[in-house]
Amino acid sequence: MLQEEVYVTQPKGFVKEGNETKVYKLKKALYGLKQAPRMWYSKIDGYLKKKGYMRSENEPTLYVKKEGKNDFIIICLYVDDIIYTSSSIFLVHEFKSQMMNEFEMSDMGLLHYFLGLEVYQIEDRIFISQRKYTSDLLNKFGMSNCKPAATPMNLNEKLQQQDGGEKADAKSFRSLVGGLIYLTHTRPDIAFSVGVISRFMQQLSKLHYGAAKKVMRYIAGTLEYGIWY
Amino acid sequence: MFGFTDSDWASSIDDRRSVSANVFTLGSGAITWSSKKQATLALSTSKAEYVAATSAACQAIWLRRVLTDLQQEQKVATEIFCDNKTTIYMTKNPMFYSKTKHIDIRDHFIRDLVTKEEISMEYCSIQK
Repeated sequence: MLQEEVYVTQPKGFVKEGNETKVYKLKKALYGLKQAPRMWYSKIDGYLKKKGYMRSENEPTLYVKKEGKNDFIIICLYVDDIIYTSSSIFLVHEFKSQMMNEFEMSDMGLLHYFLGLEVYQIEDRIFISQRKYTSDLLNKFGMSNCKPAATPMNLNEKLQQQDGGEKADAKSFRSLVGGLIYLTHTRPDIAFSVGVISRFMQQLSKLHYGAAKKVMRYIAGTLEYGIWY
Repeated sequence: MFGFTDSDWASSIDDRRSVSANVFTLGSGAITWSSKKQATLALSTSKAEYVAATSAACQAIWLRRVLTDLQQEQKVATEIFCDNKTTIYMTKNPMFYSKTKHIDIRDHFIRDLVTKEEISMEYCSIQK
């Protein structure tokens, strides 16, 4: 239930004849309302707690429920995306039916895509990568057909704030660095070079842009990289 | 679970600060990693490694807690590998030396963790 008083104008299709000058007072949150995300979170958090799933104190997105001596189910919540795993197939079915009864949710089956991370599960191994994200990033900066580089950075390259180089486009550089930072979620190999180029958001010169392009050329040649578990 | 830590001393030529890095592996794969410029200026490579080891130790503590939540409690101290023997010695010996007395309290957090046997620092040469 909403804590605040919120009024909305009569939306199309919900106009009361004879009362066109009046407004509606909201009882529940609507999509797009400032309070909506908070309301959703308190609803799902309350529901999971009621059903015996304990929220981890160390990682707020994790909920764990123990069953009997050895069995447990782990739930990872990201707004309305939920991934879960368990030691017992019974707990999986129980959780799935609980969620589908309580909320309008659909079962997407085995996890293969989460927050831009691609997940491949085969037998006893799992592979995560951002192949599609990487190629979209290269496309966005018109580098999908660039010449791949063997390393993300030149050996002993020393970049500095004021290098006297020509000024470069700061806006697209920031977007590029932001895109690369997200890519470090599956690519520890570029973590250092991305850390270095992200220091030059102000005082940007063509030399810094060149270093960023070098990282892009490296990932262009290593699209398939990811991590095996 | 194992951790690895390293640093790149005074690599930023604008302010001569160093970079801390760490990776943690669980079973077969890397689970968390980080590469971050340090917030303080390290006077020596050992100090840079010490700061890097402390941030790795903080990460280790969090990982141990999350693993406990996931029913995978770590019963033994988490080993963190480092290629600087001086740094390892500094974490194990809570003595006060003139060369280490300028180090900030927050960076000495690692000593406490080593004493409590939550983590243990091990040597790992760069050849391996």
